[in-house]
Amino acid sequence: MASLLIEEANPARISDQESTESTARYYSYYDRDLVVVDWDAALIVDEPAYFDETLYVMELANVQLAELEAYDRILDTAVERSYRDVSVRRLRGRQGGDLPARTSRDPHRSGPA
Amino acid sequence: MSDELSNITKFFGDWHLARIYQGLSARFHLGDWHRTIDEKLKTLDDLYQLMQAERSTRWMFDARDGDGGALPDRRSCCWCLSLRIAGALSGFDAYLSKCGIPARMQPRSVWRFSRWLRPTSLLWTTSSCPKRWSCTTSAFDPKRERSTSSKRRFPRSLQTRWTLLARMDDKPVGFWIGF
Repeated sequence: MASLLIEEANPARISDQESTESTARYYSYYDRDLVVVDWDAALIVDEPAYFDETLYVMELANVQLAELEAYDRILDTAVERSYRDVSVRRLRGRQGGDLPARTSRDPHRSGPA
Repeated sequence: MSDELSNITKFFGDWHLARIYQGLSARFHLGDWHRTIDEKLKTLDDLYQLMQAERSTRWMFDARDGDGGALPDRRSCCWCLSLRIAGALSGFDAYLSKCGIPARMQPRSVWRFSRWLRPTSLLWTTSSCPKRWSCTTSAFDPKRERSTSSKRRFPRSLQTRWTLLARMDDKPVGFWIGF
């Protein structure tokens, strides 16, 4: 199952740690259904009639992630431009308080993606 | 769209689906993304407030000048603007008090005054000034005219940035601080 989720061609080479990590988030309601979610892929075991709702929820989460990434990219550009504007003003000799600190946290770096 | 996505959990009537969503949200680090975006929005807001404060400072003199009227017309003559500044040069402290600037915020010398009043204020309409000829022909080289006392008060690096635009009687009024 871990090899399916992480798309590893050779399951025998996957470590126990990676197997555990990839399959850690699993959800089940009846004894015949199972949903395992990971970063790149998810595994759904269920009656075909009940797939849709689960897929819908997954799609929403993906759209949210894409939306937040887009916002983050736009804000990065805007913040950089603002810092540049303020810096230009400072170089021209204008007074003012200290610049606000740049945000250092970035999910691109802290996230496991 | 954003609100709908942010409040998507409201639409879950199925606790099992909600659990799946929570798992996906944790796997995708959606909370971290939200926090990062909030921080960047706050940074942008801080920068905007900073620039807004600087702009307000630049406008302070002109906005409260004279009878405390509205902001000056950008097309107004720089000569007229220089005349208004004359009051500040001849009685600077009193002028600042009249403008409503607290004593603790008042600069302590003419040099500080030059840092308060940004050159853009004087250079708005130099090209369209109807008395530009009389202004420019009054210009002088501050290096030749500085006195011993001015050497002490105004270092050379600052003196060379001063250019007189106009005189009123024998008194200099209206400077361009040429950065």
